[in-house]
Amino acid sequence: MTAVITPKKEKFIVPIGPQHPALKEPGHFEFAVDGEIVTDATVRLGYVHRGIEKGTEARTWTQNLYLVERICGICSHIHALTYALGVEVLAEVEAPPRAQAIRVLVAELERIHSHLLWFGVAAHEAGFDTLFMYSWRDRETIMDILEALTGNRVNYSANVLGGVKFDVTDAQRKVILEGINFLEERTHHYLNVVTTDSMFLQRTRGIGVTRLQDAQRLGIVGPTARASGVMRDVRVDAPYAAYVNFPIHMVVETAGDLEARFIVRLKELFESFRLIREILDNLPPGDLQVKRFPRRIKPGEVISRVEAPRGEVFYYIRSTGSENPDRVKVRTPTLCNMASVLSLSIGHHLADIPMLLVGIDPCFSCNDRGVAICTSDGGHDSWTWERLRQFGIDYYANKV
Amino acid sequence: MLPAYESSVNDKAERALVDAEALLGMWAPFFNKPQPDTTTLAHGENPLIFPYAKRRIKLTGKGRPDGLDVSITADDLREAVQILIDADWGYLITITGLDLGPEEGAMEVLYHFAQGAAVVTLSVRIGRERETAVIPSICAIIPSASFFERELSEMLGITVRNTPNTDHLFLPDDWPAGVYPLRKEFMANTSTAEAKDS
Repeated sequence: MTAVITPKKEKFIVPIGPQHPALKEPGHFEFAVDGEIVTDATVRLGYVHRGIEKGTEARTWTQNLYLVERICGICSHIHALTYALGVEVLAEVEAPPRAQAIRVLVAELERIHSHLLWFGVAAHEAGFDTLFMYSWRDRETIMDILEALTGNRVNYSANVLGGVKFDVTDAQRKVILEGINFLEERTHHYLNVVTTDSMFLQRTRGIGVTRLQDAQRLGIVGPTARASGVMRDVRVDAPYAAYVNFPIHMVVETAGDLEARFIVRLKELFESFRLIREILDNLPPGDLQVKRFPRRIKPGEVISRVEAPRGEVFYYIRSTGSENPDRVKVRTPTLCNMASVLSLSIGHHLADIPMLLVGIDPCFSCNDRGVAICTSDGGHDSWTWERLRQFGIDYYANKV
Repeated sequence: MLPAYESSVNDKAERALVDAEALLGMWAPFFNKPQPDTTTLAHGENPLIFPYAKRRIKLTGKGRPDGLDVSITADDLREAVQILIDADWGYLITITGLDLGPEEGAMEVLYHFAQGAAVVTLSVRIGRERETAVIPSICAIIPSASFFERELSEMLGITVRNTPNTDHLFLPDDWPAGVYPLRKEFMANTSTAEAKDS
């Protein structure tokens, strides 16, 4: 066997992606390695950039509600909620208390679905596929609840500007409570597994340690930050919708390693279960929507911040008084946390990279937000909305 | 009467804003206000700052005494950011680039900092031309700002002086040079082929 000798000065670069090593989403990473140890890292995003920020400028305030909901398939409700809360402030309209409570209810159900999804993927990356299958089986419970409540497994479309679309019936309430009871029991079991299983702990304990100062310096958000002791949760710091009437307790760990990130997310599930029961028991009476919502919105600017399952979602919305927004800026949590993976990976084994990456619960759709089609001759082309729509109509017409 | 929880969030946000006002005291005339008329500026000051109706950025969420907006010049930006960071006031949420359109002939870059429910926005007004759409990088102070600055330069064509990385972050490598999708001239339904021709 001939050994390849690389002079010390030259870097050996291992490209990973664009097919993402942890989740089935695209992102391209280049890791410079010295043997097995990572010495430098860069990232290239944008493989699923859909130009949504620009798209919002060509659509009305109401159409945009449906557009932003499609920024992310996993935390779709959060995006619609952040947008709706912001636009309501600009329009000087406030959704009724019952609507706000139902918004929080759906947000917490979504959090459970997102955390369980992440938990399964993370278990899979650690090579613990049994845990992956169990957690995704259990996740179906929450998906069924969401479907029963909203009619959809994802993209629930629960919000309208000025309220929500649906009420919670007694039959739905019963289904939710039964599902939550089952999941609570399962979560106790999962928490026990991730803190005691010695094989699993070898992949998580002491790996990817982010100290408090580093977490702050890198601007990490969400459960990843809270696992490093950063006391930051928009639901607590700046309660929106009904979180002021149904306060949440912040879950913080100080170890900063992958294990702590598992513990934070699983413990947050218990908070979500508690909150869902509390909301269902104390759902305020009243309307679901405001009577009238203006088509044109007064000139102004607003900042809307919401705690998504992955961390803080930030919207800046600007109106110049027309039927369309002038600018909608979206900052999703993954973008903030991505920088942490790059700096964290330095000094770690290449084999730990998928786990480090999955530790932040990356979401590439959120990150990228454009429709690019690769043509068969290898070229690239962007389709206009009209062309995409026509393609859809023709496709289904020919199918029948 | 506010519920106890809401008023405690409120108090914290108000205290944070008072702290921020003290820290950024040297820009007090520009709190929630436009920069002065160009005619009142001393010689050599940035002539790009036009008089314009500065609005207050509202915040959502309970416990929200409205945030603090500070108009500053590009030259003062690094100093202001340094002051906030040294005092450990909050964290940088993101940087928003705003094209005010060819008629207004200006762009705005907003730096949003948050501490609890309080948000401080530093807004820098710059021109739209190659020579005037320039801001200094704050990566030396906040390394994680690099992604936001890359987004500014590829989406709006803003030159970020001394930023460590100017590669495309989101747009394809073969994206035509000089086409900036978040500028107002760029229409939402333009295909890449059309963009190349423009």
